[in-house]
Amino acid sequence: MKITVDLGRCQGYANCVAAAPDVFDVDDATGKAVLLAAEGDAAEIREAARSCPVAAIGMEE
Amino acid sequence: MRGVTIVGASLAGVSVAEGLREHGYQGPVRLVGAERHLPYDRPPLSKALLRADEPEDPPLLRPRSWYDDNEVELLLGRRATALEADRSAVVLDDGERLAWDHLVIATGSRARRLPGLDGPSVHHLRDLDDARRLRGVLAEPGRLVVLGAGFIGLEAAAAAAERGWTVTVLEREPAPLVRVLGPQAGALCVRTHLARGIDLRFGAAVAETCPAGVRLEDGSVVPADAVLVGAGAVPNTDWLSGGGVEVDDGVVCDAHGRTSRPGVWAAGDAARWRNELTGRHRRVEQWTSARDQAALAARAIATGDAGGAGWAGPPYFWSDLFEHKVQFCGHAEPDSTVWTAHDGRRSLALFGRGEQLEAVLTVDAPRLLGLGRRKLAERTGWAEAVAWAKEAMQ
Repeated sequence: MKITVDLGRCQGYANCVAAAPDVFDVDDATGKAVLLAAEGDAAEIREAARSCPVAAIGMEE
Repeated sequence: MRGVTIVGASLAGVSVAEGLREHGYQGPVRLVGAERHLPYDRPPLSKALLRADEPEDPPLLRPRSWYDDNEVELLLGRRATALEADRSAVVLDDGERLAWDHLVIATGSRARRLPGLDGPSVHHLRDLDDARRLRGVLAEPGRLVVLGAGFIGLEAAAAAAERGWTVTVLEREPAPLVRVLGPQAGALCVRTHLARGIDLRFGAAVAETCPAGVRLEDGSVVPADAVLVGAGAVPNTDWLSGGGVEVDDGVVCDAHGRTSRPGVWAAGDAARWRNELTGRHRRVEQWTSARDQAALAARAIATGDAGGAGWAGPPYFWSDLFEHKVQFCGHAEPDSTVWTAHDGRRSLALFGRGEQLEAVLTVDAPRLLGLGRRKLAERTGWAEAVAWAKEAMQ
C-alpha cells in the first residue's frame, strides 16, 4: 500500500482525519495533513481519499 | 432495462453515478444537468474563484473521459420540467421523456431572490455563470453592499475587500451567521472583517435597490456600485409539483434516501433526509452531506438493499474568510449552550444540548475540528467535551 498526500493541494479540510483517524492528522500550525502511518485500513483510507474536497490524497493498493 | 436517471449534474448527482458503478451496477446511467458546463465543484465559487490570481474555472468534479470510461451518459444544458412517477418517467424542457427503473432527484438549490432587489447591479452567487459575472465586476474597485451576513455573503465580502472594494454588509439579524451558529459564535468568524474595515451593520432592514445603491426601511441609503444578495437558498423542487413524490422544504426522504415513491430517490440540497446521528429531519446544504447521501443512495440502488445503517454523518462545512479557515461540524440551535475559547491564533467553540455535545466550530484549527468530528460521531457528553476543549486550547 502506498499513500500519498499532495501538500500543495491540501487545504486542511480534515475530512481525512474523520475518515481514517489512525492514518491522517492535520497540523494546526501549517493547516496541512500529516501522515501518521504508512498503511492502515484500506476502506478507511479509500474513504479519506474520496472525501477530500481537493482530491489531495492518493492511494495505491 | 431502463436504468437509473439522475436529475442534477452537481456533486450529489455525479457521486450517485460514481457509487452505482463502484457497486457494480450494470444498467444504463444517465445524468441530466441544467447547466451547459461539465459538472464542477461549487465551494470555490464564493472563495478562490473571486480572487484575481486564481483561475476562472472551478475544478471539474471528474474529467470528461471519466463519464465515457464509466458509461455515464451526460445530458447537459437540459432541464427536467416534470415528473410522471406513475409512468416512471421524467420530462425534459425539449419535450423528451426519459423512462427509468430508478430516479435520483439531485436538482440542488438556487439563490433566494428578494422582492425589490433587482436591476443590473444586483448579483446572486450560486452557479458558475453568477461567479464569473461577479468576478468580472470586482476587477475595477468600487463600493459593494452585501445583503446577508451568512457564509456566502461573508466570503464574497472578504474577497471583494481583498480586491480593494469598500464593503458594507447589511444583516437583518442582530449577529452574523445566526441561522447556522446562533447569536454567540458568529463573532469568532468576523474578527478579520472588522479589522480590515468592512462595515458590518446588524438589525438592518433593507427595502429596495435605488439608483444610488440600497435603501433601508428607515429611508437611509447605502451607496453601492454593486449589490450581492446572500439570502440563502431554496430547493429546486418546483418541477416535481404534481409528480407524485412528497415535497416539504425539499424532497422528503428517510435515512437511506428513499422518497414517498418506490424507485424514486433524492440526495443533496434538494432533499430532506433523516439523520440517524442527530435524530433531525432537516434539509442540509453541505458538500459532505451531499456526497455521503449520494453514496448511500447509490449503494442501495445498486445492491437492491437499503437495509443497514442509514445516514449518520454529522453535517460538516467549511468557509475561507480572508486567510482564515472556518470549519463547523454538527447542528447548533439558537438556544444551544455555547463554550468558546480563543488563544490569539485559533478559535474553538462547542455547542451542546442537555448533556450532549452537538456541534464544533473551529477557526484556523483543522486538527481540532477533525478530533471534534470524531467526538460527535462517538456521541461524547458535554462535560467530557468541554474538558477536552480546555486542554486542547491550553
